[in-house]
Amino acid sequence: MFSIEFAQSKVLQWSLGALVFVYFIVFYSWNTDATVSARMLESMRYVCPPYFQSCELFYFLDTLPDGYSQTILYMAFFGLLAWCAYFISEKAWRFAQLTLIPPFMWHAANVLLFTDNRSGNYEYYLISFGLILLFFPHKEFFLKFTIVFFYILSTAAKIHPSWIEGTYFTTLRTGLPLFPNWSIPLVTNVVILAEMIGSWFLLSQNKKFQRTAFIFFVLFHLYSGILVGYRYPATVLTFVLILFGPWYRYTPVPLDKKAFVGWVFILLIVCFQLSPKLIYGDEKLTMEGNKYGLYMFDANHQCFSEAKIHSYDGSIRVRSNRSIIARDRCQPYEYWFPLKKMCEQDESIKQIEWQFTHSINGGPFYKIVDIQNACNLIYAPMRHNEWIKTEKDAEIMGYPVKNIYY
Amino acid sequence: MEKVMEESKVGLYDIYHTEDGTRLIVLQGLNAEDTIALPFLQQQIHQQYDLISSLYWILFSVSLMYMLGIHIIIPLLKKLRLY
Repeated sequence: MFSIEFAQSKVLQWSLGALVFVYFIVFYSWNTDATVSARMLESMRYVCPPYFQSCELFYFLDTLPDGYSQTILYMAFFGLLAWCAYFISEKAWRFAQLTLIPPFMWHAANVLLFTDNRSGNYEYYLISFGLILLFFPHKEFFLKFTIVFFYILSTAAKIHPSWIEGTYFTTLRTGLPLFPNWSIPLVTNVVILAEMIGSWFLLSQNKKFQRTAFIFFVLFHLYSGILVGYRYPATVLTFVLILFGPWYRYTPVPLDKKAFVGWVFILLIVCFQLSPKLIYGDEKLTMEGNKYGLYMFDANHQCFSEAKIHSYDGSIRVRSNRSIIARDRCQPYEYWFPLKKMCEQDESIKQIEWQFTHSINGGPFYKIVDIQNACNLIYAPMRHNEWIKTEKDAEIMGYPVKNIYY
Repeated sequence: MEKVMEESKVGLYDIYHTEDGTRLIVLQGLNAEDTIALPFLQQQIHQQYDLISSLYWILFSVSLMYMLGIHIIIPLLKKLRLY
């Protein structure tokens, strides 16, 4: 666990405190959230990750008003976090790390295995910070390097009309905060360039460059919080302030054998980030592989799903859903998954006719799914699913109006 | 702009036909008056999108190689006394 590194670095000590702070914020919102609870399983409103479609065994906790088990668990985590804060104050670094392992495991399992609905970008940051602070050697270097690398990798999701043309924001009723509509493409391209190139200077030995980059990214996170709320800046800005703020010092590149695990991790996140590009079609429209890397502000989504459930007795039920706001990720998979589970569990269902129509960034509404029986479909997580049409072969159904964001 | 009742679905979306023949799908909760018009700068970028996105991919590759090169490859070569 390389606890000795904490004793030698004020930056790492504060980073461990920041990790406690961020877990507190996450669990504060998960404490009463029913996303991974027995109730969701019973009402078939859960969605497993596409690469682990049988996650049901983890839906055993009862959330209020059904029972106390979930809140008991989260209060146990509260106790561990408080205990960790005590160990930090006592400079008992190994014990502080040990108390954080259960929150780390629970958080990472929720994000990566238990559900498809908790895979926010800031959760990926938190998993990375947790991995490095709890398990990796050369913690200070890899924390700094990972943040800068995430800035660069996040631009892979931004090389898209959403950002290059700024259509994500120009097709919002409220536009971009504080900037007029005509300037939106300028602002979005400045952000792409700053993340792609400007973030290098966060690691610079040149004080002027380093400070300029630091101030830019602090302002960027404060500004982006107007749109995304507290969670993202609370997770990332906290670490940016600690690692690149007044305490910044150049950290030599580790090249010993111990550093191997850190470099493998860096290469892995590159592979995950680029994996959606290997899947045929625009991943912002088909949403295939979209969440395997950072996808923040992928596209301004509008969609609706129409399913006709045919029973053996001849009756037909209609089940319709639609997106409500721009950041409702319109994954066909997410709409198909409950239909598939219905087919498996309800023997009276003969077939489910299903259509799914999706528009991104104010572009046409494409009918990307139009099939006779959703029960017969299989979703492959790592390649293009033929039953999901792309922008090249889907029928255009109409055009959207400006979307809303909140 | 004219609302087409028979094509609309209550609780899901309304269909409008504009004067120029465009079929608007207005999801429940959105406003049919909020039609989309692209700002001038966006139209210019749209025309050159393929070129600009290609340049960005080149820059992205350079950035990745620079970061990995300066932090792994060159220090490693120096360590091995090859650089």
